[in-house]
Amino acid sequence: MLEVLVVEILLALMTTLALISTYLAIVQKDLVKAVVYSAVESASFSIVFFLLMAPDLALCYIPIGVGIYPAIVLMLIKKTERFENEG
Amino acid sequence: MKAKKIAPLLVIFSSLVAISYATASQALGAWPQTDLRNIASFYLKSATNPQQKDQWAASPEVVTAVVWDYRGLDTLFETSVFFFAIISCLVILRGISSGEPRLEKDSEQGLSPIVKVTTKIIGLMIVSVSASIALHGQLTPGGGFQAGAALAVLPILFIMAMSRFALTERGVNENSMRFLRSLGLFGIGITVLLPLASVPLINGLAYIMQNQIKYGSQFSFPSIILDRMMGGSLLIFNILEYLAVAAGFTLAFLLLSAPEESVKKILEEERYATH
Amino acid sequence: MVAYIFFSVILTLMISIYGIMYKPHVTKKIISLTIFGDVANILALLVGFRYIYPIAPPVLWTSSPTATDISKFLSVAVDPLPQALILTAIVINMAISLFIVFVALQVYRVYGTLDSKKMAEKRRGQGEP
Repeated sequence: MLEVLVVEILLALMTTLALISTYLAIVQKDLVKAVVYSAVESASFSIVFFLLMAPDLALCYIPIGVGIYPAIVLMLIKKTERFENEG
Repeated sequence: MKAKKIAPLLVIFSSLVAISYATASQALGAWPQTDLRNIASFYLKSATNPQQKDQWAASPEVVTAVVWDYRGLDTLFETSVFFFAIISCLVILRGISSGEPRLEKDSEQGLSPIVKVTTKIIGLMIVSVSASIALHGQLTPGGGFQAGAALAVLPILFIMAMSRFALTERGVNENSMRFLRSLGLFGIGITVLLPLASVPLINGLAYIMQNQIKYGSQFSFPSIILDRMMGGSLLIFNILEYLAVAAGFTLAFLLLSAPEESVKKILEEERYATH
Repeated sequence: MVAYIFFSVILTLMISIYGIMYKPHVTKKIISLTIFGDVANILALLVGFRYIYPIAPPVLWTSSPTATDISKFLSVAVDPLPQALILTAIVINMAISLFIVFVALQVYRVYGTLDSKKMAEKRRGQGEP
């Protein structure tokens, strides 16, 4: 059952990567870096969708999570503030 | 004061424990699950079976058949939700048009020439790949919405590598994108109501959004082309959804990238007009 | 291993809820909201998965299938219904995110700042911004 073990190890690796980049995105004060971390998280979730045998969803997540959505939020950041101040 | 900061954290932690316990004691289905549910085996069995022609969807791809044939009304309302979101964005930024004059010459705006040439080559590849995803959506994984999202990356690249005026001077402005989006939605509406228009011809019943022959109704879109199953109305829906989604996203990007000076002028005029 | 995958996904959910509630900047709230939507889609798909081997996506690619072809397909294929419903959910999430970004831009043009505590002070200090 080597193939089953490889698939499960890849799934565990990708969800751990999503967890770490989510934590870094929420704690970060520079908003451009937070958007890049959320793009990394979307890409790892699209690999999880592919491993769970849903190719339609993997094909849908890559242009939305890495292309359209960070572009919209980057245009919003350019027109408003870039750094998040405390207090 | 301390209780106000700690209480949401307690709520989060207790819901984490509750969800984990409920999943481990099989509240969301058997753990681990090895059988298909009954409704899933019905869809998988009847979507590709040519022996039973009154439950058939005529396409080997079961997910597209479920999205546009068995659960077609859900997708119709989702398309209208997207349409209303774009309309609301237009209403918030009303009065802003793209008729501003150019500020600098073409070769001084944007990034370096290497980036511009590479963007044009990649743009050609994006158009061909997204058209291919939309056209084979009923045979392999793909479909209308995925292809529309893939094509919507192209105006982003053009706005960021060259400037916004590179798009508006080639005819891609708000009015033409609004027209294309309305054309796509109008086509979807006609395809939904087409079975009803054929009732006097077949002298029987017909249902809204009907794809193949059903019990008591003889209307059917053509489904087999050169001995392959081709999906009937699924192909038409995929092409129209591709057009509508790509035009809607492009409209949103053109509105979002309007320069701030023209927007400030319009906001000042509105504020002084109401006082 | 299956328990670890579920646990890490639910932990990501809790971190994104923490980000929505505790960070006062509006753009950070928007980023956390989209992460929350992504994780909800993953949970819906994990519920409908089959832990068998060999396994295949729900696409049948023989030109005129007989009854034995279809019964073999039923024993290896994954549930197609969660995938169709998640596709609808992705489109609706995208539409709502687009609208929220436009409203946030308009709020910045009227108030001058995007920090919710400073906005509350401005409204409390004067009658109108």
